[in-house]
Amino acid sequence: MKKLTALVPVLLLLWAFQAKAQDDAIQKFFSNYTEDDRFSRVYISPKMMQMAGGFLKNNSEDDESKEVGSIISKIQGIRILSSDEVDGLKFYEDAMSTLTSNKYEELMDVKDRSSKLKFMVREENGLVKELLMVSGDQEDFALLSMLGSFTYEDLNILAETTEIPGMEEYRKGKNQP
Amino acid sequence: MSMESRLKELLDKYWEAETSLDEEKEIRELLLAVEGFEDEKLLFGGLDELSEMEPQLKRPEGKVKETKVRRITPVWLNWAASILILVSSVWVWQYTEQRKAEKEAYEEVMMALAMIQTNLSKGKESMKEIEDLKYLNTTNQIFGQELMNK
Repeated sequence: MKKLTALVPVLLLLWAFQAKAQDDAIQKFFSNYTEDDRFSRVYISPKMMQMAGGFLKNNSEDDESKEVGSIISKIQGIRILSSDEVDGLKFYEDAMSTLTSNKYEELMDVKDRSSKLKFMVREENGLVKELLMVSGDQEDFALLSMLGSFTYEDLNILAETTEIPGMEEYRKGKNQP
Repeated sequence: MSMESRLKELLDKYWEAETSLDEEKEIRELLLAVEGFEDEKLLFGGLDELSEMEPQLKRPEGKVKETKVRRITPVWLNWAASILILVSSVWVWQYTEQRKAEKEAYEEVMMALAMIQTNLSKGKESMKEIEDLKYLNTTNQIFGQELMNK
């Protein structure tokens, strides 16, 4: 019995260490390319999330904005690493091998001849703590990590809200390279 | 012209509000001289009395000396005004900067969300194709329709 109780803190420590190691893996993956000019990096801090929420509250009143606002309030931060001048498929595999862990559950995996896309989630107590998106094709690569605590319903809303303000601009920007 | 008719004339003019100050003075003098015109006498006499009245209120004397009256000199006023303008413009500037930063943050966040959304919907679209296949399952319908078209 004594041995067992002695084991508990060790196990806890191991568990904590593993969690730490995983966070580090993403961190490492991001930091690998901080100096790489081909990549653009975006980090949206909790403070910025707060400000964005404030902006939305001040500028629109309709239900959809409220939904978006409630999601925004649940997001702690977003990190994006992207490039449109690298072999995305190679980086996709690279990212996958770095992030292999049983901590993430696969949410969605779309593969076709020229592109790969994967959504993964990290769950804690039934809440999604992190949404990880990795996508790659012949010339694009993107890795996105969204931290916070959401329900799957929130993710659904996010997938279905077509009228996210600013969405059109984003698509336009994407179509015009 | 008798004094009465002159007075009447002047009073008519007075009620039309066309008398000059001199003429009003004349009305007063005439009113003192003639008999009758009690209402007018009351009015003009009353006006005179009013103008002679002195304000009855007096300042409490003891306390006035205790509080110092500080005069704001124009120099001070200038300073105060410039500081006020400075402070308020800084405030306005900060406010607009804050709004600008908020907007930028919002756009950034929306871009990230849009990225997630387009990719999520990519998955949904391919799911939809499979969903659509479900309807093809009823083979009879397809063949039936082809037959009907023939």
